[in-house]
Amino acid sequence: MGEGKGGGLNQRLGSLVLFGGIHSPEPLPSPDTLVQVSRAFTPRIEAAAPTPVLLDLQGLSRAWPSPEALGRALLEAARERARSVNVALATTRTAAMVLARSREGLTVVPIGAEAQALAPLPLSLLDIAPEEADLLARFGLRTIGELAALPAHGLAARLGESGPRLVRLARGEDPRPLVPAPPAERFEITLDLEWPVEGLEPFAFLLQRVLDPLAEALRGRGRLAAALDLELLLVDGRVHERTLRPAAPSALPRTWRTLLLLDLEAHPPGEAIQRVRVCAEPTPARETQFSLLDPAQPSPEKLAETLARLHEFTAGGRGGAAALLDSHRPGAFAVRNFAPGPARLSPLEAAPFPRLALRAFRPPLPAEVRLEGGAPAFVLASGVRGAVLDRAGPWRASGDWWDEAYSREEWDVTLGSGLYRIFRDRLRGGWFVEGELD
Amino acid sequence: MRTATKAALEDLLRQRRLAPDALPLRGERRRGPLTTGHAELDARTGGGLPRGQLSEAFGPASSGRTGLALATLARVTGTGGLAAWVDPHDRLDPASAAASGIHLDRLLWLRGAHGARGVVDATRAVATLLGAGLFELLVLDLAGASSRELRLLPGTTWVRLQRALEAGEAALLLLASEHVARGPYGVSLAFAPRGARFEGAGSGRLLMSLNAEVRPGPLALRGAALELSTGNEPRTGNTEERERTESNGAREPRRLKPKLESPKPQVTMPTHASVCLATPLPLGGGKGWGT
Repeated sequence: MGEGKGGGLNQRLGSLVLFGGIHSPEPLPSPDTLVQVSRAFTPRIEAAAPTPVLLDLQGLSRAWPSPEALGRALLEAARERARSVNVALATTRTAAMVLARSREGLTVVPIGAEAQALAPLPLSLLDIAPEEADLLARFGLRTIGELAALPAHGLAARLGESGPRLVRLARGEDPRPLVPAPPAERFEITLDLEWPVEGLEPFAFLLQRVLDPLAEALRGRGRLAAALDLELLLVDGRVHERTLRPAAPSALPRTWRTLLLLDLEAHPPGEAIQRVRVCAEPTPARETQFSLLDPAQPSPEKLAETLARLHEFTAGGRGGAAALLDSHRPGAFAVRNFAPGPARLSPLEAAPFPRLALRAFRPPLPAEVRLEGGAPAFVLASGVRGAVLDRAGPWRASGDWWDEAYSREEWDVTLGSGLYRIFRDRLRGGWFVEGELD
Repeated sequence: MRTATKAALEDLLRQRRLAPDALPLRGERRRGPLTTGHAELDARTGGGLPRGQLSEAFGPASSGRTGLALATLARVTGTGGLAAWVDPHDRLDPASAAASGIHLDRLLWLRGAHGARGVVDATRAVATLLGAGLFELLVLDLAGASSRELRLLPGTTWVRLQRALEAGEAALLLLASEHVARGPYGVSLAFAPRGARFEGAGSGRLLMSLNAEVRPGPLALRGAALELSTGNEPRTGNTEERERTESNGAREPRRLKPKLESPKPQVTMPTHASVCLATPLPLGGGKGWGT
């Protein structure tokens, strides 16, 4: 077991700054095994999941009289969950982590002996970048002790600011304080039904029983749900899974219930439901500071609910807020989620006078165009037909040769039935009516 | 005392901040009409499109219905309101909307799927949007819808929508090719094209504007003249300046902006998306049918 290597810290825990490292060289039963063991001792842990895990053990003198006793307790607790575990206690994070990864069993480093304990160990155990490790290997350095023995100013002259940092690391000094990892938040509720439930109406009541405590748990931690995973175990053994991600996060059970029911109406499970599992993806709640003068913003919950009711239109990116793309390709736009931000007010005087608008045909209508003197004289397409009474053009547009190239000649033509934009695709040939100007 | 102070503060805010078209205070109900921005038309319709009412703008192709609807939407979104464009035939051009001054992030665009029941679904979507009470102006684009599509609508559709409108402060504008419906206090704008204005000759010829006449109601004796500009300006540059193509983008850096907007063009701009790509070509070639 290697217990008490180095003679121990030889003093009571008291206010001693003490760190522990736990490492398992063998595969663990689950990724968070060591984290769970560590959390039984202290909430302040820093985990590079699944191993090693660093613990802040300061202030545990009431439970354990000495660092050795604490180390033994830690080792025994870890060995109940994993077969092969190393534990190292030291007054610096770096020493605790490196020793836990290199020495078997329990290692307790005396105060001030960190550099001595690390010296015989290989450089590869230090947490340094691969390029730095290669460089040090080219210098002929093999052990941590050899690096620690180098003068910091000499290394700084050769490596810059990383030189002194590497030396401090090799001497077991910490480059930064411990950053505790908060426990993973999991908001999940499962409800096993005594009798299978068929139909959405009775299911709505059950959903309320699941969503109310889930929303309560979210609010208790100052969180909203950005997405909700619904998993329904059906009587025929199938699992019906749905994931909802509305435009705005919410912790209102009524909103989520409506959204889930609307989604299930569109995607019914098909069989009776035996078990319900709802899992929320938490996100920090953001409070909005309202302005006295700005117009009231729409409630995000109501907006999400409205968009969910319009899923026939919004599904598949067909509905939302249009956004122009940074491209000169005619008609280049994207449809994004409709999530209006704070209003950007523009004075009414600045509103442009009514502009001529294009009413686009999607896709453009294939047309036959008769030319006279190189200019369109007659246009024939589905629903658009007539002699050209007046025209402007041609205007050539081309681009995107590196991707899907386009090249076209555009004309604005007046026919007896209206004003249209037509174009000739110069790459693929053929004329098209792009839209009506209205 | 507190009430008097609050009232005085609100009066002050209104004087300093709130013009008739400006923002309502939180909780303030203001049922003023939605202005179109066309002074004569607004004057003759009592201020614009009335809230809580079904209005319509109808006329043949290229009569300016869409341009006026977009101008009204620009005013709504420019004052912080939300608007929706229900588009069963997928005809809206976002570049035109942006050029009209619409804040695209405040315009919900619902695109139909070209199905036979697209118009029916669109009216259902409008009812849902009205029920939400989040939008100030909804435009239902039925221009180009066939009479068969309109016949599929249940007979109570417009009454139902009018009822839904009366419960809130939104206005609904129907764009159509001919008269469809309007609410009891809604406006019915009949558009008639009056031709397009071109300037220049040959390859430098430009479309400058579209002229139309708008009659506010079937009984109106006289219409208001409407001119929809393309934003083009008379040609001033030389030929070399106009020789720009995107394929060698080094000459012209890309710009992220509505392509119809060109506030101070160095050269004459065409009406459409290829403003800075446009290269007038010499006319030539023979007669015949293109394919």
